[in-house]
Amino acid sequence: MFDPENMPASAGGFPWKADGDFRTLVYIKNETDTEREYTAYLTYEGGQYVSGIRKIKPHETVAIDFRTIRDEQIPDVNGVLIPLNVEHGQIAWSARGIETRVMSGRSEQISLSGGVASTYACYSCCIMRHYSSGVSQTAETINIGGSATFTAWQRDENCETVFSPYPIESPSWTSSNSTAASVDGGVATENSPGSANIQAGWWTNETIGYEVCEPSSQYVTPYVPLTVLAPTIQVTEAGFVDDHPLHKWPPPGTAIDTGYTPTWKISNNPDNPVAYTKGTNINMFAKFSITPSLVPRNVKIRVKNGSTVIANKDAEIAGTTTTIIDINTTSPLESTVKKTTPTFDWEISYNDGTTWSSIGSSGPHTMYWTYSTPLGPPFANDFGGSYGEIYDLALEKATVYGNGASDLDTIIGSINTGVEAAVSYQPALGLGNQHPMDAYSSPNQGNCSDHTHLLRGLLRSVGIDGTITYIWAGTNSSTLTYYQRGSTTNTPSFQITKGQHEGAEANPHFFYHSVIKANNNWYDPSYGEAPLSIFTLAETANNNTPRQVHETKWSTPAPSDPFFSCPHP
Amino acid sequence: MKEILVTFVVIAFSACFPTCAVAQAFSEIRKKAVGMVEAKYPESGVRIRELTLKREEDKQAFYNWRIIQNGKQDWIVLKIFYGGSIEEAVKFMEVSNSNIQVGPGLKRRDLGDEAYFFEDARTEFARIRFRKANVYLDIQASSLAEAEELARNIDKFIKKRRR
Repeated sequence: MFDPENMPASAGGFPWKADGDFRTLVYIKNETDTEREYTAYLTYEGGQYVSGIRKIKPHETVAIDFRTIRDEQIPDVNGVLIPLNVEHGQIAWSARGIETRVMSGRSEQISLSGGVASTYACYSCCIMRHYSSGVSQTAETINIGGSATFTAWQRDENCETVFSPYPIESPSWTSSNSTAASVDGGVATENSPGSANIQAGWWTNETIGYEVCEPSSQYVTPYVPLTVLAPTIQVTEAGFVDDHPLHKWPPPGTAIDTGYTPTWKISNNPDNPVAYTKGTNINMFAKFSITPSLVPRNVKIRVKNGSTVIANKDAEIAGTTTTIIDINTTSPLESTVKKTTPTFDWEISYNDGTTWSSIGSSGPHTMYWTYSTPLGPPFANDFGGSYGEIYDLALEKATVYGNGASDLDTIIGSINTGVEAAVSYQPALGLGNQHPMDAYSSPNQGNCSDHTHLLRGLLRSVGIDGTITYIWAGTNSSTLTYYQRGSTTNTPSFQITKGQHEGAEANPHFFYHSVIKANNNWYDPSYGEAPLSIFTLAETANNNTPRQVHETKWSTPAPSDPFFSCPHP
Repeated sequence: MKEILVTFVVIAFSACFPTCAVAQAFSEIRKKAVGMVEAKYPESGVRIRELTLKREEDKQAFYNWRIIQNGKQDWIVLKIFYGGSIEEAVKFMEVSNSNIQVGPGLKRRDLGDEAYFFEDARTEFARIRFRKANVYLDIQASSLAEAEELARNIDKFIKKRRR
């Protein structure tokens, strides 16, 4: 036996054999009052058995029984088994730590059949030292929502041998970029797309040289690069809620943009419009495709209109598709009556808004901005029939005519002018019981009633009320008095002095005329100008029939008495 | 017993005949009227016929055609109202008379049960409106002659009906 105080190092080596009934036991003793660590290696032809780091209590003696390890096929720290046909080899052991003379070791070999029993000790000049170290993977890639488990290992050497690696149980784990990933106990979890070095650190034995054997400690920090991949996320559908319900023109038309029906899709795009009142915030929803499938993950979504962020939303995304609702703008997009066709850029942040990445664009979205909530029923025809639907074509026309106007008079005037320009004035026509917007179908013509019913419907579609006012000549509010105009087929109740305009001749003879009263002004969409100037009647039956101005038509058309026939051709 | 049954069938048929024989389905009238326009203005190498409005509802139908020939563009507008009764069609005509800004036009007696026409040579516009039985028709064309030809053909097709 050696006196540990005189041993050059707390490390040693012995041959071992386990053939026949030979049994080899190696005893390692902690000679101190402090818990220590050691490692042991059983080398044999073609292999190496690694104990890994073992703890040994104060003054404890541990035994390594090679026959038991071999015969019971006890795996080492790397899962290696000593083949059953291996009968001899070498053992090397070493204390860990730079303190010397802390452990002692000896070997016993016994063969009952051979009557052999021997014991001896053999010490190395120096403890084993760190040869190399590392982390389990050379590189790792994980997706958002994923994690990776790492282990650290170390290889030791003595003056003769470089031994197999063994795991380090509890190194200190750190991440070089916690924005991308964090690590705890060797398990790295992503924080956001990016890269980080996952590093393990621990103290290990070093020696300056075997000749002098001066142990020292070194902190080793092997690491592995970790890449966190963002899933491929793409906005595939988008739509709006809390908007004004619309129908597709022509009648009866289908309801569009009901509930959570998307108005835009990346494929098979319905390309439906949406309508909001100017000055209001919009409420959007969107569907996203996610590749690969994602475990539930909280993110931030934002929407940009050009370079302006218009909406932010905290949301959870998961699986291969996710629909996010209630994406509200933080301020109104528009403050005037107009049509816009914005394209929205969608972005995602995995790190609470620190960095953003694109997840596609939606649109262009056709958006109609009304003056107020549309009034129902928006349209009525000259026969008294009404239409409850707000048609997309009505908003298309009204908001384009509105052209960014914000004050009421300008909006009404713009729409009045728009109707005049779009529908040619032909007094002899009359849609009658047709929808006023049929005037937009070729030949794009209409009489005064068609113009006023169209203007009123467009105004009400954008939330502005208007009243149709009829002008005629008659003895009272319920009677229209007509006469014969020369030899023509014209049966008017009055004539006005007016220049020729489209289908209306100069100084026309009319049965009646109609205008719109809105915001305390009168608008004449047939002529597209202020209507008051045409209300001076130049001729009536017998030139003494009074003018009538009412919101409802006469109930009785009656021939003039005496019957009047004017001389105009 | 057999004799009684045959008698019943004959009586039942006779009772139904005045109505059943004259009633024409709206679809039949629509189809015929549209066919007349298409026959009068067949598409050819020198003529383009385009249906710019077609709306067929339970009791009414609206058709607008654009006819382009020799660089000139004309329009044929056809409206048909199919009243549930003659009275309903009469009322429809009355309301229609109040819709036209230049007046209902002059009456004529050669079409249907009630007819009006209007002509404006300056704008090359003519309009004939007539009612026959429970059917109201509004025909607009570039000339009175064109409107009259179509009106007469449709008038012939629509059968009279008892009140």
